[in-house]
Amino acid sequence: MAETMTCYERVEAAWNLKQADRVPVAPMVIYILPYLAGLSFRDMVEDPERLAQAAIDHQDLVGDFIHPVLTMLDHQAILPNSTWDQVSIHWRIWEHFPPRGNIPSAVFSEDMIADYDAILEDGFAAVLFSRKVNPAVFEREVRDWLHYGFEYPRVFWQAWDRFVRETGRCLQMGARASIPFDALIHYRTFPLIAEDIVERPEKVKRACERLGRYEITTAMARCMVAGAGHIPGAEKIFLGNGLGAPPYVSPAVFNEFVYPFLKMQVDLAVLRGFMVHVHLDGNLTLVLETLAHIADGLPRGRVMLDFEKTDMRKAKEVLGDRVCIYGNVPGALLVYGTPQEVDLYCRDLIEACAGGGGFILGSECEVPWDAKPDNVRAVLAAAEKYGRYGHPNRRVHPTW
Amino acid sequence: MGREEEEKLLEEVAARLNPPSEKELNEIIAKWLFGENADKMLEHAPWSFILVKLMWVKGEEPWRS
Repeated sequence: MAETMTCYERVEAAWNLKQADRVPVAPMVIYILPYLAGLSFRDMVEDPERLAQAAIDHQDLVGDFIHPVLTMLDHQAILPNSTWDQVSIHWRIWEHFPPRGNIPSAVFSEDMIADYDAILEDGFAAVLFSRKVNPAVFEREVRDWLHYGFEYPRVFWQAWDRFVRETGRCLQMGARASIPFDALIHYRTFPLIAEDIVERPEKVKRACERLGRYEITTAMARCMVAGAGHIPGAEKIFLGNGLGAPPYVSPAVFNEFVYPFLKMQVDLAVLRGFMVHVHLDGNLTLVLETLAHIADGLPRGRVMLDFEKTDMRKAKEVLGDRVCIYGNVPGALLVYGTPQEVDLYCRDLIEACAGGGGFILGSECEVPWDAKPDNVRAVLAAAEKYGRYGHPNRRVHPTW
Repeated sequence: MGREEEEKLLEEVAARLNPPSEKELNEIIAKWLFGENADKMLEHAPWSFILVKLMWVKGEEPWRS
């Protein structure tokens, strides 16, 4: 059936809780595309044109929008950036992809922030000068730091601008930012943050407030470099939460230490015209009532909640008339399942969530690099097969 | 619906965006990097940055060992 809307229009309609021509679909294909194209990690970092070309060559796996493999950009930064900077995670897998063995990471092993008072009084620069930072982080030459800090982002976004123009798809985001408690887990380690919320909760909150403002403000500036207002989707900030949600932390901790600063960040960005894609790993079913207030006081259609393991039926029930929801075909199904199983899973998900609009069919988190391409194609096909609005023969939900 | 509508959407986005100014951005980055010293670091930039030696974590400075 002919498409009657552009990808961008379709996605915007969903964010605004309106029915598009069909359910938008965008399994989060990130590393699978360069993997299929045979790129090494070094290729991905050093040649954004080849990275974007890999996505163009495999656009049959791309839905209405694409994640522009933003880790390739963020990871090169010297300044702290979404906890994917050189300090908190240091990939050394240059010549091959996928990695052979675990990716070396500071997460869970070193407390990069040893003293909240020092961070608040003297600043995060102390972390950059900590002896716990892997010395390999600083092996680069000054010209490399200058390139990756100031020139590389423009080269990177030129490549993705070409992707958008050649494929008609839009960008999933123009920048990423961390929800501060989640970032603090990376810098502090899980055992210590668990101690902190009991022994020094006010210091944790002060650090979250400071880090939250830094992350969201710099993300807004990075969106402008990406082409916000000119390239479809570049006005969206991907606000990511990996570990700062149930089941990794309790609902009480989420409500006290995570949500208030998440809401602060969302408000800061939306009130300046940006849109916020809140990516929530974990299972948020127990805190949906809290999340129901995420868009309070804001213009409609500027916030989307992206769920990994959350019960989507319950999410639709609690959030359906407030914010767009996005998710959540399991990664394991995409790797180990069959196209038929994926098709049935998507059919049920669309049936449960798409009524009235406000739903985008996607994957749990990212599509694993070793997912079966036919399974990804099955997700895209399901949106067309089951997600047509206004076509009685294709309806599956009795209320559509 | 189509490209024209998409252009209209983009124009609406461009019109409502109020990104941080360079001054705001510098202040927020300085606050995160230099804490309570941010204002003075900016006031005396760029030469204030030779003082980053002071940012070593207390007790872990290489000149102590």
